[in-house]
Amino acid sequence: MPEEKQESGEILRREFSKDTDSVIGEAKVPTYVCHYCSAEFDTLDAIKAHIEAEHAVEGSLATEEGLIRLTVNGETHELNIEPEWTLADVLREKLKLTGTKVACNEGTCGACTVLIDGKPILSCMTLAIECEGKQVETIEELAEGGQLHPIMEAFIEHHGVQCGFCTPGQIMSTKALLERNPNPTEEEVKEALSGNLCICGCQPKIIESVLAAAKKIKET
Amino acid sequence: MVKELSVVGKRVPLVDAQARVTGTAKYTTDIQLEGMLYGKILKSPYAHAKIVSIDTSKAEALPGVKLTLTYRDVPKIQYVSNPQTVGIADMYVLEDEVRCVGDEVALVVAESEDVAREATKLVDIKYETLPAVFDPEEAIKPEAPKVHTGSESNILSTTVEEWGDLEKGFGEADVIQEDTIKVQRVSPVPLEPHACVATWDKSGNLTVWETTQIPFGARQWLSKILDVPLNKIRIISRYVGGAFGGKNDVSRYLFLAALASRKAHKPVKIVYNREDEFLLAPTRHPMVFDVKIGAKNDGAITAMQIKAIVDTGNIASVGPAQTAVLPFLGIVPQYIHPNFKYEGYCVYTNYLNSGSYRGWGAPEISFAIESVLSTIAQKLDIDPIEFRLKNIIPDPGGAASVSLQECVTKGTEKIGWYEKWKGYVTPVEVNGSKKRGIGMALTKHDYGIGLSSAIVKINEDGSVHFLTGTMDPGTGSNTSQAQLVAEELKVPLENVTVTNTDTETTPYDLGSYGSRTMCAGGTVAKAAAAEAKHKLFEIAAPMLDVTSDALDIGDGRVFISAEPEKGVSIAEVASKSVIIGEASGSVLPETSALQSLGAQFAEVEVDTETGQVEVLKMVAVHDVGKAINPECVEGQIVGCIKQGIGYALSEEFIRDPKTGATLNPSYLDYEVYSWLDMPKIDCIIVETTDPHRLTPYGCRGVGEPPLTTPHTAIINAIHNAIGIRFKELPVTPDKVLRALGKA
Repeated sequence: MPEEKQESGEILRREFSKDTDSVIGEAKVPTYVCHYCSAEFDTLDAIKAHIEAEHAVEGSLATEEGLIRLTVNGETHELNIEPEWTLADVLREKLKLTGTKVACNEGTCGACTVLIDGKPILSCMTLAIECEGKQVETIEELAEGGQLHPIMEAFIEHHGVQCGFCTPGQIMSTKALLERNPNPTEEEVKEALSGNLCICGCQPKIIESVLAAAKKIKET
Repeated sequence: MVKELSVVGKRVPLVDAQARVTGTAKYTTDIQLEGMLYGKILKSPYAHAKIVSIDTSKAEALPGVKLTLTYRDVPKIQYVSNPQTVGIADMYVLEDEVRCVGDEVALVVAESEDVAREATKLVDIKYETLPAVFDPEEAIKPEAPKVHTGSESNILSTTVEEWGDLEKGFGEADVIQEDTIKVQRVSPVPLEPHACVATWDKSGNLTVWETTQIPFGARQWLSKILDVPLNKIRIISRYVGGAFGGKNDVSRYLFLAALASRKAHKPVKIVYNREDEFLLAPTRHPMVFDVKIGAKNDGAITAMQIKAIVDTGNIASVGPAQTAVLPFLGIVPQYIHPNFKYEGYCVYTNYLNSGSYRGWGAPEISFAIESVLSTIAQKLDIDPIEFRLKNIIPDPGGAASVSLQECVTKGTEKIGWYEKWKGYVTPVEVNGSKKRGIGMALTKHDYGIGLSSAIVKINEDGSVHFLTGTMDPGTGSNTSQAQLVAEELKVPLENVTVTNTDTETTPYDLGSYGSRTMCAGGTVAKAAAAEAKHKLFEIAAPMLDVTSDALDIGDGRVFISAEPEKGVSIAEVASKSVIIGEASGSVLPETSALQSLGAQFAEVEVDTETGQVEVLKMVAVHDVGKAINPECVEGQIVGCIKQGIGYALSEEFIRDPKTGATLNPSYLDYEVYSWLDMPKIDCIIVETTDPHRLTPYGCRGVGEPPLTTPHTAIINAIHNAIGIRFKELPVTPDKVLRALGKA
C-alpha cells in the first residue's frame, strides 16, 4: 500500500475505495463539504484544517473576549457578542436588521437566508462569530438608498409574494442564483430555491418573478 | 350603461408588496421595544396530569429572570378560545391540570430568550399522571378516561339533524354503499409563528401586537379576563406571516404576555418556537365518518345517513360549532337527499388543540360524502361528472347551475377529461410500474357573513386614506379592498393609502376568516367610499350650482355629468369640509347569493413499485363572481391546492401511542408540499353574474372553496389509476404498497 501513495503524500480516493471493496460490510466514508468553497474532504479533521487555513481571516479580533468585527451590507460593525449567538439573532436584535426573518430557527425552512461571501446560508444555523471577515449581505442591501433591486421589482410586478414572510429569503437565494447562473431554466430556479419553504403557495409566481428578474438584470 | 372599470378586475401589484419584499414590513416577531422582556412557555411532558406542586423559586433565582406565572397567578375566569363558540367555557389561562403533551404549564419571563429558556428547566413541578385517551373512537365510549377530570363524558356536544324517512329511503334504493372514512389532523404551519408583544402605559392602557386574524375578538377576550374596558386595549395586527385559520383562536399566550407585562412594568414578548407552533397552534379536526347512502339505478339519491366523530383535542375552540353544521358545509347539502339523518359528536381527547383551518369542516365532510358517492356511481356505471351534476343541480337553469356547468365544461376541456377517461378502474396510461389516473370533485362553499366596517377619509389635497379592520395575512385584502375604494372614487390606486388592523384606529371587523374579507369587508369598503363620494357631491353641488345627483367623479375632479368641462378638483371640495365616509353592516345571505362554486381535476401517476403518488397536474376552475384582483384570486387557489395535496398525500401528526407525544413537530418531519413536488396548477377564473348578489361587483369568497376539493380529486384519480379506493388520509407510499399487497 505505501508504494501506491502519490508523492504528495495523499492517498487517492480510488485507491482507498479499492481497499474497502474487499472489506465486507464497512461503512462508506462520509464526504465533508466546505460551505464556503464547496471543496470536499474525507475527514472532519481535514475540513477543520482547511477552513482554518483557507477561510480564517488575519488580524481577527475573535480571540479577544466576545468582540468581533462583522461586515454587513458593506458596513463593518464592532460587536460584543456571546459565542453561541446565531448570525440571525445578531442581525435582528443587535443590528436591528429585521428584514431577515426567523421562522423555524432550526435550519428547516430557509426564511433566514442571507448571503455570506455570495453564498446563500441559513443565518439561524450560523454562529455570528464564524462570520468575522466575511461579507454578509441581507435583504436590506437590495433596497439601499431607496432604489429597489431588479429582483425586488420583479417580485412586486409578478406577485411573487403573499404573506411576505419567506420573501426576503427567497430573494437572497435568487440573488445568489442569478449571480452564478444569469440564465436559469425553470428547473434550475426550483432547485436553487428548494430550500426556501413557502407555505402560502407562491411557488409558481416566484418562478415567474425570478425569470423576469433575470431578464431585467440582463437588460440593465 | 356599464362603465368600464379602471382598477377593479386588474392584476395590480399589492399596495404593500414593497414593504414585504424589502423586509421593511414589521411583523409581530420583528417588534422590539425599549426594555422588552422575553417570555418562554413551559409545556407539559405528560398527556394528562394533575399539578401537585409547582416551585418556581430556582427559576426566579437565575440571573436575568424577572418573574414567573403559574396557575396561582392568573385570573380564575373560564372562557372558550374562539368567539364562534357560544354557551361553552372550558379553559383557564393556566390550570393545575394538563391535558396533552405540550399543554401550557407556566410562563418564565427574562431579559433574554436564552435565559428564559434555561429558566424553564429550573421550574420544579410534581405531576400526578392521570389516565389519558388519544383516539376519538375510544374517547367517545362511556368507560374512557375523562379528558376533563370530573366530567361525565368526553362528548362535548351532540348534534342530530334528520328529516324524511330513512328506512323508506333505503328501502327504495337499488344500491346502498356504506363506508367508514377517516381524515387526519393537519396544521397550516404558517411560516411566522404565533407571537405577541404586550405593553402597558402609565395610565393603564394596554397595547398588544399579535399575529391574530381576530384582533377585535382578542380585544374582547382580554377585556373580560383582565377586567379592562375595551377603550383601554389596543390590538395591532398589521403584517402577519400566514394564518389560514390557525391564528383565529384566542390563545393562552396572549393573556400571559399581558399579565406578565403588567406585573413587570415592561413590555413582554412571547414567540412560539417551532415545537410550540406544532403543539399549541390550532389544527384541523381529525374526523371519523360512518356514511351510508342509497341510490336508484338512474343515480338519484334516495337516502343519506352520516355519523361523525369530531376530535376537538383537549379544548373546545370551534369544535361544537363545526360539528353542529358539518352536513351543511361544502358540497354536501347540494346532494338531494329527501331522507336524511346526521349525528355529530364533538369529542375531547388528550391531544392537540383542534380549531379553525381553511375550509372549516367542508374539506373533511365533502371528502367523506364524495368518496361514497364515487363508489355508488361506479357501481351504477354512471360517469362521475354526469352523476354529480344530476344530483346537485340546486336550481335547474338558474345561476348556480349555470355556474357549475361552466366550471365543469372549462375544467374537463383543460385537463382533457373526455379524451383521458376510460372508465372507473381503467388507468389513463400505464408505463411499466407507473399508472396514471384522473379524478375530479365539485365544490360549493358559503361565506361572507358577519359584521365589518370601514372608513374612507379624503384629505384636503384630494388624497385618500382608507381604514379597514380586515387583517391581510397575504390574501391581498388590503389591495383588493383599496381597489374597490379607488374605483368608487375614480382615483388612481396610488392615491389611496391603507391602514389596517389596529383596533385603536381602524373600525370593527369580525375577523379575517370564513372567506369573508371581500364579501363583507369589501362591501363596507365600497360603501364607505360611496358615502365619501356622496359627501363630496353635497359640498360641490352649490359650488357648481346644481343638485348633487347631477354630479359625477373622475380624474381627480367632481364635475357635472351633462357638462363634464364644468367641475372642481376633489382637493378644492375636500378642503371646504371634512370628508369622512363610513359604513358598517353584515352581509346577509340570500339564496345562491353567497355561494362559491367550482370544479377541480387531478391527474396523478402512481408508482406501484414504490407506492409514491405524484400529482402531475391540477386544474382548478372557480366561479368567483368577479375577480377584484385576479392575481390575488389565483394566489388563493394555488395555496389551497398546495395544502390540499399535502392533506391527501403527506401531512399528518405522528403520535406516540403510549405517551401521546408528537414525534414530528418540525418542518423536516411534517411534510408540506413545496418546490420540488408541486404539480402544474392551471387556475381558471369563471365570472358568472347572479342578480341576487349583494357583494361588490358580485364577487364571491375564494379563500377556502379551493381547499374543499383537491384531496377528493386526487383520491379519485388514484382510484382510477390502480383501482383502490383509499378511505383514510393521508395516502402515504406505505399505505399504497400495503393496499397493492406489496408490503
